[in-house]
Amino acid sequence: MNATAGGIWQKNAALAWREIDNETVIISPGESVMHELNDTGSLIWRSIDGHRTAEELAALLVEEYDVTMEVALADTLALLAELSSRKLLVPGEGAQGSEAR
Amino acid sequence: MRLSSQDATLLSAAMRRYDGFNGTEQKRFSIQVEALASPNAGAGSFDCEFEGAHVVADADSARFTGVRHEYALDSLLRMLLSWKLLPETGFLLHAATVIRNGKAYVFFGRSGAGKSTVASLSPSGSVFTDEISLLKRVDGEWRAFGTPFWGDFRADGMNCSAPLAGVFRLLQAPENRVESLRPSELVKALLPCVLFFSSRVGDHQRLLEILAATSREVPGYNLQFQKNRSFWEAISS
Repeated sequence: MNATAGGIWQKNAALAWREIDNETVIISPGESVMHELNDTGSLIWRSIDGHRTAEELAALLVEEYDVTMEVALADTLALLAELSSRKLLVPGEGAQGSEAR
Repeated sequence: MRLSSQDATLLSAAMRRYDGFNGTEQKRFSIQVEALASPNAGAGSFDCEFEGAHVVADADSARFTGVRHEYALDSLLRMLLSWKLLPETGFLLHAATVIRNGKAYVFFGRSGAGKSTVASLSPSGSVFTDEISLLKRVDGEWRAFGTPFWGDFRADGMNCSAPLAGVFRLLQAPENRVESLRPSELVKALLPCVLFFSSRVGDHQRLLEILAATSREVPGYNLQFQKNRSFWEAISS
């Protein structure tokens, strides 16, 4: 699944996660796999709430870091696609969170 | 802990290995041990399987099935303990614990990292365990406890505890060196070495909370060490 600017995502409920020092550790209990996110990834992760679009998430990066919207959106979409491919995210309910390609 | 089994040989072996670790609580946790396998033994707050042996547990009791030898019993006890420690802010770690000047030095790492080496290089009587350490916060203080779970199935564990001096990730190297780990680095280093068997999200969330607390409250280090006693000099300096 590819992430789109207007797409909405939510965290997979079958995960345990914790933010420590602006980094995030995520565990998939079923697979006993640990995932890590850096500070920008953690900002996106904590802001994913099943309501915000990818574009709105990217805007948060623009507010926090010295980065253009174009770059922030590209980075956000790449991260969302990566998290989705690892099954850490699922499309938001009733949203066109992603497009199957 | 109170073990019940109709297998006298198994009970005798269990007495030898675990009796020194039995608590004195009035209300003991009861474990029924059965040789017959029962994969559908029912659901509890915790359930886990190891090579045909199963544990199903609730707050006050557990049932072990398919236990045909003491190795299976030992494995199920480790699994059960890893879960029982969650509400007590504790966890089991693949680690050797050595006491020095009244403080516990916990050396953790996966198989082959050097836990047994560290233990063998330490003075007799100073090693709580060479294989699996129990870390727990007691009245606001982190302490390391000995466990009956020693490498090579030896029954040498010491039932005592000491305040933690620090936790050290073992990395064999040509020279000794100690480097501090940031809390996030420590959590990521600890996680692969924690004994944990629950598949429930809530239990994993609790484990992460405990490790986050550990990382804030206990000094953590990378210990690059040579296989000789000189590593203590690096730790002391």
